[in-house]
Amino acid sequence: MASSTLHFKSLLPQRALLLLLTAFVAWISCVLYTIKLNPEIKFFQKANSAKRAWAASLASPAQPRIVIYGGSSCMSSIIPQRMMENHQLPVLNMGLYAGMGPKTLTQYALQTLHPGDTLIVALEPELLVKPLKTEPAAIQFSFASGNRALLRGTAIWDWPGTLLDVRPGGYHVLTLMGKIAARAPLYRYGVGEIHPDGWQEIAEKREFGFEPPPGGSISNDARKLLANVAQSCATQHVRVAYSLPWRYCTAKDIPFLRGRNLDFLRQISEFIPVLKEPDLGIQTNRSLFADVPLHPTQEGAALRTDELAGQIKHWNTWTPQEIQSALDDMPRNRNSQ
Amino acid sequence: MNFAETRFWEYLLAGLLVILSARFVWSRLASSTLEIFDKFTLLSLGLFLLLCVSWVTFVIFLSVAILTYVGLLRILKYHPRHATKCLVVLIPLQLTPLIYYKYANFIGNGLLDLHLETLRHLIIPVGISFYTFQKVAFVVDTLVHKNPPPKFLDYMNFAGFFPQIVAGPIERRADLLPQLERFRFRWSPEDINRGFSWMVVGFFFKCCLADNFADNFSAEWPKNAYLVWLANLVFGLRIYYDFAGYSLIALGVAQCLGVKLTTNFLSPYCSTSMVEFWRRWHVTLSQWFRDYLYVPLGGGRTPFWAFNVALVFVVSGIWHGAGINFVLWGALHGLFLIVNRLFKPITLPKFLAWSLTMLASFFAWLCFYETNTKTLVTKIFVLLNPREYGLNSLHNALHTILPASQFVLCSLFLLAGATLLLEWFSVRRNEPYYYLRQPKIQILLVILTVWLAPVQNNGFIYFAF
Repeated sequence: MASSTLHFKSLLPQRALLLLLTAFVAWISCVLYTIKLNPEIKFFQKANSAKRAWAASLASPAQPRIVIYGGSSCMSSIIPQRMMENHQLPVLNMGLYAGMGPKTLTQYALQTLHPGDTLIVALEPELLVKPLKTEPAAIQFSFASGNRALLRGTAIWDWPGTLLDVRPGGYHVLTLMGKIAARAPLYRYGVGEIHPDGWQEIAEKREFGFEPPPGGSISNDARKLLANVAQSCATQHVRVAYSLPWRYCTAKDIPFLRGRNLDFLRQISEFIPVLKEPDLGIQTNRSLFADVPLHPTQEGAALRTDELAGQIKHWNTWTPQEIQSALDDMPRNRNSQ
Repeated sequence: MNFAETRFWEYLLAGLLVILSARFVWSRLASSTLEIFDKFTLLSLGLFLLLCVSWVTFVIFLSVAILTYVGLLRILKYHPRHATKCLVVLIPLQLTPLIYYKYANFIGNGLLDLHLETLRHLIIPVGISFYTFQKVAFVVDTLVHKNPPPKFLDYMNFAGFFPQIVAGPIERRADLLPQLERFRFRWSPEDINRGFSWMVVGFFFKCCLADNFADNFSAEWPKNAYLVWLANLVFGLRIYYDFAGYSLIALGVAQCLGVKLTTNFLSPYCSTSMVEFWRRWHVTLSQWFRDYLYVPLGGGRTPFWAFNVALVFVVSGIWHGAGINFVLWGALHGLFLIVNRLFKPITLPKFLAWSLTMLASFFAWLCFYETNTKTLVTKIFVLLNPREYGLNSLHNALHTILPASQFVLCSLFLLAGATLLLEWFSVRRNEPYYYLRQPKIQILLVILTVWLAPVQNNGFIYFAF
C-alpha cells in the first residue's frame, strides 16, 4: 500500500500542482477582495441599492415610469426627487459607471422596464464609437451585486476569461496602496454622495478643459445595441428616445462641438428618436461642472433635470432628415479640429 | 496564438484532451503506428491553433512551409552538385511573402509614393518573420552542411511547432528537428514541473511587469528630456519583459511536451557591454544574423569588420519593421558595437560599464517606439541638449504625470528592480533565471501575477514583427 502511494505520488507533477493551487487560492482571494472590499465596487453597490429602493418606492402598476440610463454623466445629472417634486414625473436614474460599458449599462436599465414606461438613453458618445464587450468592471459589479443577469449571453468558452476578470489588477492595487500610505480617501467618490433617489451629487472639484467627444461613425456593435434597444422597447410597448449628455465647452469650440454632436445624433436617430434640444448638450458655463466636463455640479444637475423634464413632457423629437438639414446648414469647417 | 489569452489555453487543453483520448483508443487498435499518430496529432494541433489565429496566417504559413520543402527536395534531386548555388533562387522565394506583407506598403506608398490603397491595409500575418527565418536557416543548414532531408511529417512539425511558431525562438535544424523526430506524447512529471517553472516566470514577466508598464507608457508625453528618458525606460522594460515573457512561456509549454527550446533571453539588462547585451537579447535572432549574414560577409576577421557589423544591425533593424526609425535603431546598435570593439582594451569598473551599456540601450529604444521621423529627431535633440535638463524641465515633467501614475510607476520600477537583482544573481551563477525559478520565489511570483496583472491584457509586442 505504502509503495503504491509512493508510486502514485511520483507520477504527479507535484511542483506544478502546487503552483496551480497557489494561483487558484490567489484568485479566490482576489474574488473576495473584489466583491467584499473593493471601494469602487462598494460605491456602485451602494448606488445600485439606492436605485432599486427608489424604484420599489415608485412601484405602482397604474403609473408608467421614466427610466433614464447612461454612464456617470447620467448618474450625476438627473435628480429623480426633483423630477417628482417639481415636475410630477416618476423617474428612475439608472445611470452607473461608463467603464462598465454600454452593453451592461443597457442591460441594467432594461431590467427595470415595465410595459408603458418611457426609456431615455443617455449614453455618452465616447461609449458608442468603440467595439463593445463585457468590461471587467461590469463583471465585477455583476458578481458583487449578485446580478448575474448582467452577464447573460456570455458564451460558455468565454466564462474562464470572465471569471479571471474578477480581480483588481495592478493599477488598482498599487494606487490603493498609495492612497493608504497617503491616508487619502480610497475612492475619489464617497458613498455619502449618493442620494436615496440614486442621484450622485459630486462633491469633488478639479481643473479641466474642453474634451471633445470622438468623431466618426458609431461602431457596428453600438448599432446592433441601439437596434436591439429599439426592438426590445417596441415589443414591451415602451416609448424610447435618446438624450445627449451635457458637456462643458469653451466658447470658441462651440461650432466644432455642434457639428460633431449633430453628426453623432444623426447616426443615433437612424435607430431611436432623439429628444430635441436646441443647445445640443453644449454648456459654456464652467461653474456648472464639477470634476470632469461631463459631470455637473448640484446646480448643473438641477438645470439639466429641469430641462430634460420639459423635453420629456413635450416629447419633441428630431428626425434624421431634420438633423441632416441642420448639419448641412453648418459652416463647412465644422469638423476641423 | 496569444499565451496571455484564456482562449489559447482553452483550445490547447481541448486539443490535448481529444488527442490523448484518441491516442488511448489508437494504442489499443494499432500500437505499432503510435509514433506516427503522435507526430501527426502534434502537427494537427499546431495547425489547428494557427488556424484559430486567422486563416490568412494559416495559408501563408502552409505556403512558405510547403514551398521550402518542395524546393529543397527539387534542389537535392535535380541539382545536388550545385545545391548551394540554388539557394540564390530558393531563399528569395521563401522571403517573398515576408517582404510583401511587411515592406510593400513602406516601399510602395512610403518611398515610391504610389498611393496604393490595398497595400495600406495589409495586415502582417502573425509570426511570419520568425518562421520564415527558421525555414531559411533550415534550407541553408540542410544544403550547406549536406544533411539529408527529413521526412515530410517531421519537417512539418519542425516548421510548425506551435509553442515557438509565432514569436520564436528561431530554432535551428540541429537543435529542434532531432527532438521532433523522436517526439512522443509522454507523461513526464519532471518535464511538467520544469515547464511550469518557466511558465510562471514567463507569465510574471508578461502579465505582471510588461502589461503594467504598457498601461503606464505614453509616446505622447511632451518633448521634455526627463519624460523622454522615462518613456525610454518604461518602454525598454516593457519590451524586454513582454518578449522574454513570451519566450519563457513558449519554453515552458514545449518543455511540458518534452521538447527543449533555446532560451531566447539571458537577462540582457545585466550586461556590462553592448557585445554582451546582444549575446543575451533575442539570442536566436542574434545567432541567425551572425551565422547567415555576418560570418558569410567575412565576420570580424576582415578589414571591413565595422562595415559588416553596421550592415548586420541595419538589416536587423529592418527585420523589426519597415520604417526609418527601425533602420536608425539598428544603425545605432551597430555603432555601439563598433565603439565597444574599438575600446575593448579599456577595462572599466563593472558598475560604470553596466551603466554605460544601459544608457546606450535605453537611449536606442527611443528609435524603436517613436515611428514619426520628425518627432524622433526632435526627441533625440532634446536628449542630447544639456539645457533640457534644468530644474524647470524636471518640474514640468513631474506635473505632467499624475501623482497616482507616479506612485504606480515607482512601484513598478521597484518590482522590476528586485527582479533584475535576482536575474543578476542568476547570471553570476551562470544559470539564467535560476533564482526566479526557486519554489518559494515562484509562489510569490504566482501571487503577484494573479493580483497585479491588469484585467485587460495587452497583446505581445513582437507579434507585430
